This record gives sequence, C-alpha cells and structure tokens, in this order.
Amino acid sequence: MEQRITIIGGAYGSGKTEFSMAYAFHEAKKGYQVGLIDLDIVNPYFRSRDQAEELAGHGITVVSTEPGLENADIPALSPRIYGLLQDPFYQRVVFDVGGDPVGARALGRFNPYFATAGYQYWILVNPYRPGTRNVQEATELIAKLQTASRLRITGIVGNINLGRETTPEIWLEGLVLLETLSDTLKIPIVYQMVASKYAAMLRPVIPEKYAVFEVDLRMRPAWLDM
Amino acid sequence: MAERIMMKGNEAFAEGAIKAGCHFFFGYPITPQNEIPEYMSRRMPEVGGTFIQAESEVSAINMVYGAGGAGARAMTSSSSPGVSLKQEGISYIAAAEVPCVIVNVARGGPGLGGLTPSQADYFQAVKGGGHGDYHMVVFAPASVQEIIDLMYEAFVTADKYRTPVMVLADGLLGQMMEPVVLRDWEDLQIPEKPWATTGMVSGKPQSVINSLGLAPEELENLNLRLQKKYRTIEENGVRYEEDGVEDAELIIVAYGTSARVSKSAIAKARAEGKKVGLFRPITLWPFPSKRLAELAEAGKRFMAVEMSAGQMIEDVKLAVNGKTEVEFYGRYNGAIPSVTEVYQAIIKSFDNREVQK
Repeated sequence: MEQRITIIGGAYGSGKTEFSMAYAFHEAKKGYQVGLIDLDIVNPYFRSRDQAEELAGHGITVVSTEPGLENADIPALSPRIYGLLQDPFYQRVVFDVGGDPVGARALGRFNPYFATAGYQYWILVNPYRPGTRNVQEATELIAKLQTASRLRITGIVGNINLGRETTPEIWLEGLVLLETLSDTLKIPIVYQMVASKYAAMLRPVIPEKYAVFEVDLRMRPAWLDM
Repeated sequence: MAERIMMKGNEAFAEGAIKAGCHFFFGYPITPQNEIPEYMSRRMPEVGGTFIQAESEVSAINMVYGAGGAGARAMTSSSSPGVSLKQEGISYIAAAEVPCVIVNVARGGPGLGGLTPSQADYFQAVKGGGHGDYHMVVFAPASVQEIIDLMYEAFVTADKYRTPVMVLADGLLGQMMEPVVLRDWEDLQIPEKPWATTGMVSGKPQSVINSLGLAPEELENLNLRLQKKYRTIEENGVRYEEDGVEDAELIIVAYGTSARVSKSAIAKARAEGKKVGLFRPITLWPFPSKRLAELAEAGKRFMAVEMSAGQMIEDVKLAVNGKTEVEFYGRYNGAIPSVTEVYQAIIKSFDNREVQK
C-alpha cells in the first residue's frame, strides 16, 4: 500500500540520508509534492539539510532545524515539521531520522500523526557495518529502534556495500544476512539500494525478485575513493 | 582473524584502541567525536573493560593519569575545546612519564568555534599545549584504516617510551566511512611495568607516580631524562609517506584530510605534466625534518596545505631552513579545501615560476 508518510531510519552510517534524498527525488519525479524532514539531531555531519538547495531545485521542501541553527548540534526541531505533516498540499512526506535508537526517539512526538494517518517505516541495513553484522545484532537494533520510536518497522532497505571494495561476491555474502533477518523478523525487503557507480557491476547478481534502487551518492566527497 | 567492515573514523579510534589492548576509557562528550565514547560505552563491557563518562574533561584526563600510572592501557578522547581543558593533565602525565593515548578529533576554533573539521590544533599538539619542557608523540592518520593501525602504534609507542601519545585527526576523518580490515594483533603483549603503582610488594622498591620535583637538581634530572628520551624518539620514531617526490619540482606537504584532498589535486596536476609530489608526515612530533631537509637540499620547493591559517608550515620552514621556497595554501573557516582549490594553488605556483623565469 502506498503511504503518504515514509520514515527512513537505521543505524549510524547505514545510508539513511543518501536513501532519503534519493527517495524524495524518486517520489517528486512521479509528480508528487514532496516534503523531506531532516530529523537528524544527533550528528551535524553529512545531513540532508546540507543539500537543501539542490532538493529545493527539484521542488522538494526540506525542513530541519530553524534557519541559522543548521550547524549547531542542539536537539531542536522546527515547528514547521508540524506544518508539513498537516498540510495536505504535501502528498509525500519523508522523514530522514538520526542514527540508532537515540535518533529514533525524536519520532515519538509525532506519534499521533503516524497513528491516525498511517506510515511506512523502513530501515537501512548494511551487513558490513558495526551493529548489523549478524542477525542477533541487527535484531537487537530493530527491537531498540521500535521501542525508541514507538513504531513498527515495516520494511528493510538493503544497502549492502563495502565502499570502494564492494564486489558481486561481497554483495551476495551480505545478502545472506539480509534475507535471514527478513525471514526471522517477517519484515520484507522493500528495496536493494545500490550506488549508481557500482550498479553495472552488481545488477547481474541481484536476484530478480528485488526492486533495485539506484542512488547517486551526494554526500560523499569524490577524493575519498581515490 | 581479519574481518572486513565499513567503519567511521570515530568507530575506528574506539575499536582500534580495543584491538590494541586498551581496557580503560574515560571521556566527556563533545562533537564531532561523540561516536567514540558511545562506541566505547557499548564495547568496553563486552571485553571486560571499563568505560567512564567523567564529569568533565579535566576529570577524564586525570582518570587516564591514574589508570596509566597503575600500568593499564588507558585513553581519553575529545575535540579541540575539550582537549584544551586536558592540557594541565597532559603536562602532569608527561612529567610523571605515564603511558597513555589521547585522541583529538579537532573542530574549528579558536574558542568554542564550530563543529566542522579543522587542523588548527597542530601547535597545541606538537608545541606543548600544557606547561613545561615536554613533548608528546603525535600521530596523524589520513584514512580509517590508518586510524586503526595507528591506534595500535600509539599504545605500543606510549608503553615503549613511557610517554603520552596523541592521535590527531579532524572532524571529517572522524565522520568519514571507509572499508577497513580489522585484525587481531599477533604480538599483543603489554610489556612489564615494574614502575606501575600496583601495591607494595616486600623486597621491591616503592613505585611512585608523581610530577612534583621541588628540589632544583631533582627537577633538572627529570628534564634531562625527558630530553634524552625525546632525542631517542626523534631518532627512531619519525614516520612519513612520500608519493612521487623523486622527480617533483614542487612537493605538497600535508597530513590527515588535507593530504587526502591534495592527493587528488596532485593527480590532476600530474596529468597535465606538472611535476608535483606529496610528502605526508604521519608523525607530527617527531616531525620528519631530516627528510624534508634532504629534499630541500635536492632543490625541491614546497607548499604546505593545511586546514588552518598555517601552523605545520613553521616546521616545514625550520626543516627547509631557507634553502628553497615554502608556499602555503589553507582554509580556516572550518571548511576542507576542495580538490579544485588545491589544484589551482598548484597551477598558480607553477605559473608564478614561469613568470619569474
């Protein structure tokens, strides 16, 4: 079922912000009026608010901290978030949530909206990141995220990668964990996120049943992978 | 056993320390290094270690002083303003010759500054920071893998010379994510520490950890011993990396994030036939002065690239000793220089030479 509200969460460094932005673009391209809520009040580096101009250029409204406080690490949320949730003008609302349970806690105050309007809550999982390297770790994380947010996670977005060392073999190895996790917790894998630059290499090994979601990495400086 | 994993720099500081046998972490939160204490708070209990969130940075560094004095591998981490607060403790630790590791994931200053990355704590790290005639060994990693490897080196060096060691990074190194190999070190033997304060044993002399030397001759003896130790470290502890310096006319001197950015800029300039190379100090103290002097002797000119108003450049100039030119390119608004900016600085340097000819 298509939902108006999509919540993107997961562990630190799982790819939430990259996916949130790409998903916002994706929905905007379909013709929807999209609002992106940057709820990352945990970490002042690599946040979607840094890309607000580009997003605005595609008709996407970004709401984060009040203007002028973008570079502060204060846990302050803008009242405009409520505006975006309440305004039916926005047909799609994407939440880019901060990492780990501590980041998910910020969702709590919006609970009444989720309870009445419905939502989909997807978490990014990279089996090569600390905290989600095995099913036990990932299961614990998911339980903690659900407790902190008081919401049920409805989908897994696979983000299987080892950065510049990603290979088809590495990808397939990661898929084993992802599928076990999905089976164990009965949470479906909604997308396999793949960085555009590795898509040609990975697409041939990705089983057909998966929807592949290609993402142009916007936050990562090119010199990092030299 | 080696494991491949995607890690953030801050996670690597923490896991690297644990892999190096560090079982005591004391810290106080500050952005952009909060992932270090957070990771430690979870991991330390798993390895039977101790994590304490102290009530202040001053308290944390003094807990390190105590744990290190008792012979444990202990560390603290912070970011610029927090590291300023630790300086008194670091001076005491240097005087008492207590091995320990201090991580600084630096942010923009002066004052409270900002949260964005910076290399403006170079002077503080290598020229003292605290009071008195002391030095710390200062390592400057440039990748997440190197963070892990240098955390091990840092603990080994600290024990070997009974000295505080700093691992100096900037906020971007702390936050950036790269693939790394996590391995268990084969020779993870923490050396015997007969000087440690682990309780009286009859027949053994009393161990005293102290930084007070009231008698002038006693204090001078301590300083003579420290200076002798520093000369030994200068002799044996220098580390650097070179890339394409042999045929280079211009050598970029940069460490940490600046070195990574410079590497891309150099590749771009090389592709256009500019003879430019990279010299990357891995230890900021002891500074690789000898090698830079040799390169200056060979007629190379230099450009320091830093995320500061120009701090390391002073050590480059001391090493070059007026033999050739030392230029500078820096950003100090809490921003990292872009590849294009460094590339343009390189091209400008070559153009200026053409004009002079």
